[in-house]
Amino acid sequence: MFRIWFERGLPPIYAHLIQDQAVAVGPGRLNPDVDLIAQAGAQAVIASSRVRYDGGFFDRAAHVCVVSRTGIGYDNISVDQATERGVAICVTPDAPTISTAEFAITLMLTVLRHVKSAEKMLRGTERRDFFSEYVGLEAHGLTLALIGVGRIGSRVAQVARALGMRVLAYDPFITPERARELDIELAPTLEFALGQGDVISLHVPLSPETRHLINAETIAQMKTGAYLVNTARGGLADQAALYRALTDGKLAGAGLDVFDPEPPEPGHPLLNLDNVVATPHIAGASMQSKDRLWEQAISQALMILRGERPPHLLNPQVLPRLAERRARALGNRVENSNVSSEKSPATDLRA
Amino acid sequence: MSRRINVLFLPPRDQEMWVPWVDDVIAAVSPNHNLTLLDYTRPLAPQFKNQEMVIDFGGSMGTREMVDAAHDARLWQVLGTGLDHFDLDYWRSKKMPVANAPGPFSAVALAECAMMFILMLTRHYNQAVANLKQLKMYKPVGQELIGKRLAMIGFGASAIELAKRAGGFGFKLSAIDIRNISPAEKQEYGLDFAGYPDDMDKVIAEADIVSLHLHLNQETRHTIDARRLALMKPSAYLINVARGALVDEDALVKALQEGKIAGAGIDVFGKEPPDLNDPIFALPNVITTPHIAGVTDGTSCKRAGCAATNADRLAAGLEPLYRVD
Repeated sequence: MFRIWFERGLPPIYAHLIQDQAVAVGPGRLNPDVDLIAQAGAQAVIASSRVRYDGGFFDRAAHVCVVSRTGIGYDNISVDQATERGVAICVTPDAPTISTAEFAITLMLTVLRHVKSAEKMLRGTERRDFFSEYVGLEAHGLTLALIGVGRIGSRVAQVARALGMRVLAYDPFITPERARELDIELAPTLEFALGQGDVISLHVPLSPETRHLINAETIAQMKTGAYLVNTARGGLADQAALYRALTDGKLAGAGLDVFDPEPPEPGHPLLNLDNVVATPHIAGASMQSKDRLWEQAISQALMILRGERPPHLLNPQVLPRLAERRARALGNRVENSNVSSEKSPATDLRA
Repeated sequence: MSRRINVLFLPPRDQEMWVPWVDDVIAAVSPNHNLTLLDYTRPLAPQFKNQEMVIDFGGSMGTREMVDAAHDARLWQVLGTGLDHFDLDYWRSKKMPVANAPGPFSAVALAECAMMFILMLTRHYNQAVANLKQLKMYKPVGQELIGKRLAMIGFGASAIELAKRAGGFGFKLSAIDIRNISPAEKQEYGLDFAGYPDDMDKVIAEADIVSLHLHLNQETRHTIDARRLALMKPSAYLINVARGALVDEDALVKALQEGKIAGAGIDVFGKEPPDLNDPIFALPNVITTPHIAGVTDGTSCKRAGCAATNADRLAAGLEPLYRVD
C-alpha cells in the first residue's frame, strides 16, 4: 500500500479512489506541518493551495515523490525546486473545463435577458404592467468574441455555436485548423475582436501581460452596448474602468464571477448595478468538476508511485531524478509496510 | 406593386411597453400600408371605419365592442402565439378571420429562456447571488449539464429550438407530443426517445429537467399535477415558459417545499400578474421572471414581420397565413 497525505483531508465520498492501493496517512486540517508529513512517511501529497511546497519541504518530507494538485494553479509550489529534487508535480487542468464553460454561458444569457431587472420588476413594490417593458436580447445571431480559446474557450465556442451565435476568437496560439474544427472565426488582433463582439468573454490566464487587459482604452474599442463576461480572473479587468463603462452607457451589462481582490470589498459598487450579474467565483464549482479534480489528482499520484507517466505532469524533465527518489521512498515503504495498518502512527494523525 | 391597405394597430395600453413592439410594427407595416394606432380614449366606431386589418397586441387588447365596430376588417391579426386568453368563439360568431403569429416567431426567445433557467437552477443562481452579497466565495457547488436528460413536453417550434441548444450542451433528449415525431426529426434533433402523451409518465420519471412547450387548453390544463410531480426525480427541475395553468401551482409549491423536486424556473403564472404573497416567491430554489421568455428584440421584430406579411397578402388579394379561426 502506498501512503498518501491529503492536505485538506480525503472526503469520504472519494475514499474508494485509493481503496486497495494506498492509505490516507493524514489530513492537514490542523496547521499543516511538514514534519507530520515526513513522520507519516507519505510518498505522495494531494495538495490544495494552503501549504507552500518548496525545496525545504521536499528536503524534509524525503519520501514524497509527487505533489498532485486538486486544481489548475500551482502558485504554492516551487516547480524548479521540485524538479531538482526529483519530485513530480501534477495538476488537473481538465477538471473544471465543462463547468466553467457552462457557467460563462449562464452569465451571458442572464445578462442578455436582463434577468436581474426582470426579477426586480416581478418582485418589486412599484408594479407596472406584468409583461416586461424591459426587452432582452437573443443570443442567437449575436457575435461572441472569445478572448482566449484554450480548453474552456473551446467548450464555450461549441455551445455558443449551438446557440446560433457567430463566434470570433482572439488567441495568438490557436491554429487555423483548430478554428475550423471549432467552426469559429479568428480575429487578427485583440482590437478587432473587441470591436466586433456583442458579447466578450474572457478565457485567458492572469499574468503580468494580461493584467487589466480590459481597461479604459480597450473598453473604448468595444461596441457601445456590448456585454462582458468574466469567468477567468478578476485581475483581467480594471474594475474602476469597468464600473465607469457600465454606468455611462458604454457597456450594456456584465456577468462577473471573479473579482480583484476576492472576496470583493463589502458594498463594492459593481455588485449593486442592475446590469451586472455577480456570482462568488463558482464557474468551476460543480459536483462533476470536483469529482474529476479528485479522480485525476489521485490517479496521477498513483501513476507516479507505480512508475507510470501521468497526463498532466508539469515537470517531465524530472523523470530521471524521480526514478531515484522513488526507489528510495518505496524501499522505505517496504520497510514500513507493517505500519500501514489501523494502528499505525500515521492513522493516529487523522484524529 | 399592390395597393396600400388601411391597418389599425391596437398597441399595448402601457406606453412603457411600446418599445420595441410599436416601433417594430411601424417599421414593418407602415412602409407599404397606412398604419394607424388606436387611441383607447376616443370613440371606437370612427377609428375602426375603413380599417381593413386589425393588429392586436398579444391578442389582449381587442374587445367585443371593437370587433363589433370592425365592419371593414378582413383580418384580425393577433401579435402573439397563445390564444387561451382570446375570445375566439366570439370572433368566429362575427365571421372575423383571425390569425396569430405562430410558435416559430418566438421559438428562439423561448428556447433561450428555458436554457437560461436550466443553467441558473443547476448552478444554484439564487444561492450564488446571496453568497456573494455576504462575501462567501466559491460556493454553491452546482451540476454540469453534460449527460443529463431533458424531457420536452410538447415538441413544437420552441421545443425544437431548445433541443438544438440542449444538444450542444451534451444533453440526452426525450420528447412527447400528440403528433407523430418522425424518425427523421428524431435523428435531426438528436432525440433518443420520442413518444405520445401515454409515454409522458415514463419520460417525466427519467428526466433531470422537464420543460413544458404546450398550448393551454382543456386537455393540457394541469398537465403537471401532484401525481406527475411525484413521479419526478427529487433532483429534477421543472421549467415553464409556456403557460402557468399547465401546472397545478399549489401542487408545485407543495412539491418544492417537500423536496419532491429540486427546483423550478417559472416565467408564467396561472394568474398574471401573480399575487406576490404566493408562497412560490418565498422558495429559494425557484427562479421567477415576469412572462418575458418570448420578449426579445428578435421576437418583436419577427412578429411584426409576420403581421406585415399578412397585410401584404391582403393587399394582393391572397389568403392570409396562420389563420386560427
